[in-house]
Amino acid sequence: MSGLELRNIAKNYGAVSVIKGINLTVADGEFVALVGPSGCGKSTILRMVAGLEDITDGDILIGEKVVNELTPRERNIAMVFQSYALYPHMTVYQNMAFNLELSGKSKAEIETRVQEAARMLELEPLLDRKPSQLSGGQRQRVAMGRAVVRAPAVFLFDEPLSNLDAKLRVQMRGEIKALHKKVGVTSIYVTHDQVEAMTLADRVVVLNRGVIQQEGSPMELYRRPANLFVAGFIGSPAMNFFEATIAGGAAQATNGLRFPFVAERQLVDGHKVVVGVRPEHFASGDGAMEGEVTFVEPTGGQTFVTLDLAGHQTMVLVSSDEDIFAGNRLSVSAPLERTYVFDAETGVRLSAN
Amino acid sequence: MPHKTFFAFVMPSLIAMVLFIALPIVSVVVQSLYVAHDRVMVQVENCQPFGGCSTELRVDAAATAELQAEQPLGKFNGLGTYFNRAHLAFDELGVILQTNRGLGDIWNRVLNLPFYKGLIFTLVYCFVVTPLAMALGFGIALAVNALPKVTKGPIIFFSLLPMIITPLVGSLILYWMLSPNGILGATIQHLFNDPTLSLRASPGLTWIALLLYGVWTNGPFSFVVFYAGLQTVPADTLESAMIDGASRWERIRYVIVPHLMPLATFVALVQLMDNFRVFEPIVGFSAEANATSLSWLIFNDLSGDTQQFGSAGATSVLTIIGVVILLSPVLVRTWREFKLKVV
Repeated sequence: MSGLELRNIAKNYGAVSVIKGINLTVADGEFVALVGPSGCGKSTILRMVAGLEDITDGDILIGEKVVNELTPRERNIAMVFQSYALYPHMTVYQNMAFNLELSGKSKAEIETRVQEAARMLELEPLLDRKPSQLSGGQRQRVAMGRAVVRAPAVFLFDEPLSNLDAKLRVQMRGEIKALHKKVGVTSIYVTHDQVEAMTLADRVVVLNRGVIQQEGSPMELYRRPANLFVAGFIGSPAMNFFEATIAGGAAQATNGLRFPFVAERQLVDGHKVVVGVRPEHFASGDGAMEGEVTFVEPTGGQTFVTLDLAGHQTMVLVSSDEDIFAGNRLSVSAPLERTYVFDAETGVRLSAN
Repeated sequence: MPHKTFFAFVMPSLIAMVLFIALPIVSVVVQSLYVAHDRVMVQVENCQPFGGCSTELRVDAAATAELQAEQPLGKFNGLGTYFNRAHLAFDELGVILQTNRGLGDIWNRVLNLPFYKGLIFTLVYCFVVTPLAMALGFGIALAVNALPKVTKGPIIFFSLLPMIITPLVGSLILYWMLSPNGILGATIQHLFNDPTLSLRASPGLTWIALLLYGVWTNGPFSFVVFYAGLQTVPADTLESAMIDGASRWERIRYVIVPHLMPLATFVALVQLMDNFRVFEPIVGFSAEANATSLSWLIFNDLSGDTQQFGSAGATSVLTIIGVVILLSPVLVRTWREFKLKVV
């Protein structure tokens, strides 16, 4: 096992720069998720680590060794693809044994390692089947088995759960987490689903337009987003934003909405800002702000309520114990320590929390 | 779909198939059972003023024409045409097998029987040209697929040229090039230091030239189909194989070839059927003396002054049986799959 380091890596397609100097260190055995919207460059980074894509600039180190010029085979990595990328004409056993056969391992060793991986992933009854005879979840498990069997230095996951239905996704998420716990291999997991990233990873790296926006533990990103992009991307449902101006130490939004907050530094009046409050952080009941309920989405334990707060369509999360209907009036308040304020121009967080 | 609607849709095709496929086949089978009438002969006495009289046999043109008009199909011969020397030649084969001086003698004497001479070359042509042309087409497809986009267009056009050229013209061009004063023929003579070496004189060279021509002209079809197939190979699976440590050759062997296998079966079938009716190169190369094919035999029976419809019909029926035998593995497989589905 070994760690991974990206030193100022960049990728250009002609004149278009898609990755702009990424620096990232992944410790030995760490599980890091790269998350961001489509086109942010997360898959490109993964493919560069795998050796499937050339890098324009910088260095990639696996276990303190620069691997820029090495072929995928020589990098000792394993990759799980979104489409599973199994060999359709081979059985599950042959799929898992393929790499070992190519690297000239003995039949006995191949048998032992495949059986071990199959046991770990509960694939034993499926070993003689072809991929076409498997369900989506089973195929993904085979893809993981194929990766595990090689005992690689680094695991790369490229949106492996995107093709599965919601229920299976949750189940497979658990299996991936359990697998990582068992084998403890350094892993990079690419996804556009921030819930997946937060539930799985030790550390989450948020990317946008080829630049790292913020990296940290899932709760760190949730609690202290570095900028407007991270604040909007992390958390589900997404944070509510209000354009505002600093006035008397608070953020004054249009139509009289006022958000007191704890500033990190002194801000002058008239400074243009964006206020962010997560739906789950609004306290409903006796609040300073009141609006009409326009939309109610019960999900069981909680209810998403869309509120017209002085012309701002605002999502508020309330307990399903409260009976709220469209047309009702609801008053809410934004707690001081949970109110985020960002610079309107640069997007950088200005509030202390 | 109701049966009535189904038949309404299928009927035009069925009618066309009966008219253009079934009826001609029935006609060919019927004709193969008949031979041309014997000419009606009459004995005439021919007397000369000073030489006395002699009797001689003459063709009675009027009676022959009358007979022909009465029975235009000719004389019923049953399966006689199939078994005669020009076709299956069982009697001749029996003699060859009983009185021969080894395998070489059997080979030479069998090659003197026209049907077997045509059949052997046809089969050799099928089973040599088909795999080689497919391999060539696949190789070109792989090479073109690896080219930068800018160069792909011209190279694809260039690779398709053999398919665009009319087979007769293509084979004629190659024949001229291989003739003693052509560029290839002269080069071969020079290389082997044998001024007498010529295509016309050497059966071996004729066969090689015909087979090479076959590969050259059949290659583009395989190329086009395989090139299209290569565009459908999943990139993820190829990349997965790269990560698994497969070299370029191993990726072809374990990912691309299995992916293209159904396509290869289709190409092999089409090419086999196409090659089974090899004809033009034999005419183009004027190779009748050294190599003939079943199609050429039919052409030979039907051309010239006396058209031997019965003989051509018998060769045609034997050719159809040959095609059925060639296709039978696929037909059996399709039937089994159909039965499995029904069950």
